[in-house]
Amino acid sequence: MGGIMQIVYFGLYDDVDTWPTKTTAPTTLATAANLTGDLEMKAGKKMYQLYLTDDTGEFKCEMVGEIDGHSFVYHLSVFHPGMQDKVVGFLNAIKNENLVFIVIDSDGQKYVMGDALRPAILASSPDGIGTGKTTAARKGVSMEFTAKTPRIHIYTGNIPLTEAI
Amino acid sequence: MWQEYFKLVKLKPGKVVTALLGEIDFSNDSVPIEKIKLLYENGFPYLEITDEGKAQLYGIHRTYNNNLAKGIPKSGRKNRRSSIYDA
Repeated sequence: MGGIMQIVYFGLYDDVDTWPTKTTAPTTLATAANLTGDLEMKAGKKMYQLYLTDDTGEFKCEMVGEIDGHSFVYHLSVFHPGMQDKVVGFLNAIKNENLVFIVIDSDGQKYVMGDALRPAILASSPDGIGTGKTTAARKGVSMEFTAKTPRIHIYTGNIPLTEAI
Repeated sequence: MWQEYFKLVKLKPGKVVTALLGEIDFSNDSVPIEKIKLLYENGFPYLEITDEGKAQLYGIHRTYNNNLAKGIPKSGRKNRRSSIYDA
């Protein structure tokens, strides 16, 4: 089943205490994909939820680089309906911020955007931020986040939505 | 109910999207104990079992004096066995 869940989870990059680890010498193809351990936040910090309109979210892995030097760029695009003060404030707060995202696809498989070396960032607004032209138009905020990664990994840990102690 | 047997660690009570069972609100004491036990047994990193939990769920009872329970002699006797008279 395609698509992603209607919630994505995010946190500030500097608030991450422990990153899930990559297998250094995988013995199977599955272990080459899976991260182990949990993404844990520093004391007093937590992860948050961002709502998106159903069927507007997409997670993609773009292959970049040249032969023998390939890597990937994760792309997460979402549309948040409306222009409430909370989402406008969110945009203002994160527009130049280093972030981390956990995205869950429609089969329940999870992906982390950002790792110990590189954050996820807000890259663009592919469908704009605004009211639309007509009364029937879709008003809201479109956002695309990206993160560079040497390999694609699946996250198998938990997502705490409450403050770490 | 479950909070008699387990305690949440490293996090303030609240919601966690668990890898095994989806979202669970750990501030709610009425979460079924079977779910909490399943998480604990599968290595969920934010749960610790209490002494009450060990006793009620796994039949492990705390011993207050291990030496007496196991019948281990006092240190003085143990030392005597390793003296020159044992040679």
